[in-house]
Amino acid sequence: MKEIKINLRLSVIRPVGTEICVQLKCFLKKNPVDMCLAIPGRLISVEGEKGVVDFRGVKRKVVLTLIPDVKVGDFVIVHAGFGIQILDETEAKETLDLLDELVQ
Amino acid sequence: MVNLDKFRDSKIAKNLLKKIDSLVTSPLSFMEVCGTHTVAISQFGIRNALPSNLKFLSGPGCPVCVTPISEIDHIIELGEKKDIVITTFGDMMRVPGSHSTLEKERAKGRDIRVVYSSMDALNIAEIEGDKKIVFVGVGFETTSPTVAVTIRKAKEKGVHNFYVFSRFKLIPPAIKGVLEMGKNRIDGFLLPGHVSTIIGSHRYDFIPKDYQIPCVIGGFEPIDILHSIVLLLEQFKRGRFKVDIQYRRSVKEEGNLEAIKILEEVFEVKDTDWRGIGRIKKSGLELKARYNFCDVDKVFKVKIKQSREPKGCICGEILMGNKLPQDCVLFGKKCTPHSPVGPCMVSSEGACSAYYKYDVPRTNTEHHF
Repeated sequence: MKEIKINLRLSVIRPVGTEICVQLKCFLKKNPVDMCLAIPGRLISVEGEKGVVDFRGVKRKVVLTLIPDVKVGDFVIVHAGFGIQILDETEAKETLDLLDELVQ
Repeated sequence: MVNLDKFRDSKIAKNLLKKIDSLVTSPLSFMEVCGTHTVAISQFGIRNALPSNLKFLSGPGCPVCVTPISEIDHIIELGEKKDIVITTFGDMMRVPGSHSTLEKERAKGRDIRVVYSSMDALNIAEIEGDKKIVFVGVGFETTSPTVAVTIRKAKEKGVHNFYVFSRFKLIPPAIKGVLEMGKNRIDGFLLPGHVSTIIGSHRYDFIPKDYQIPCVIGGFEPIDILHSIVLLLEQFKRGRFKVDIQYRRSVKEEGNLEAIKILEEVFEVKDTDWRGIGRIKKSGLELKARYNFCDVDKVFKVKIKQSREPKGCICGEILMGNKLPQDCVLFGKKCTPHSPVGPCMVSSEGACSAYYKYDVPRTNTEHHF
């Protein structure tokens, strides 16, 4: 219940434009680590061994050493600040097609 | 472009649930090995939506939960040395050791910092050259390659005040441990998606081969999980068991070869202790001799007083799939996410925390906040 209070208070104080940012901060406050929460985002730029990954508007610097073949535009799965895999969009599509068939 | 939101589509979910209903004919217990699966199954309401004769048991895949209490004590003792900065993933902060927690130690004035990535810890080491930065290395095959990259980077850059407390663990030997020592029958394994992204699928081959138990490597979206359950049930129905991959968009049979290469370059396999399970052969990782310079175990001598487990806590039994969180007398009463007694309630990925937040209905008397 405490967290909800914090959330409400911050959204009242800050202007609406920063609300998403506030929500994210609250989320991070509530979940200070995402130890195993490897989530996909899109790689938007590369600089040396690092790149910037866009998670639906939230941008983070990510180390790309473990996925040397990655290209700008690829979806990558990120864990603890490191890209651990390039998301295979063809396989994703095939899984979804398979699901469509399965539940027919 | 593929629409990833479809992995949360409620229509597909409903149809998959119908399919699951039709496939479950006798009581079955599956185990979800990974903590992130535990949370997803609870959070998306899957646990309660499944037919009542299909149960999910939580396995040993929450990194904080399987870290023995003596190792928490070890880290706390380390933090008492002069000029040492402890850097850790946030989940470790509130795990009770025998006498204290990292959070309480920080309140006393010790320099303990939460980092998002091991690379952040290395950056601190570079900036604060007069201090010794220790990174607490807990986690599984998803985390260990990232730390291996950081260790290699520290060597390349000649950073000599960065140290790693390596207590990384391996999932396949832990599953073997559960199968050998657990008391409950397990009819199928939902295997971790991101550990398998690194190690591939072949390291689990012994499960269907030696124990005749179906396995599916699943993703973390609700549709992924439901689809994985269907695949497990289909294997069960056919009576032919193998390691199936549902999470194909991330998991390749051979794994991430680059990550495996770096892992093998930096770490070697050793026997290690698991909370609640005990010592499992070849289930942990230690730094290779050429990285002695940043190995906490080689550089710092620490004496730990006798460690003791919290009284009444059954986290160990829960990690083995022997018991469910609500079987614990402390659950929801003395032990809540706000004042946790055991690690399974502390970690956001712990089974007790997930059940408390999403699954088990509470009476008014149990609200403490």
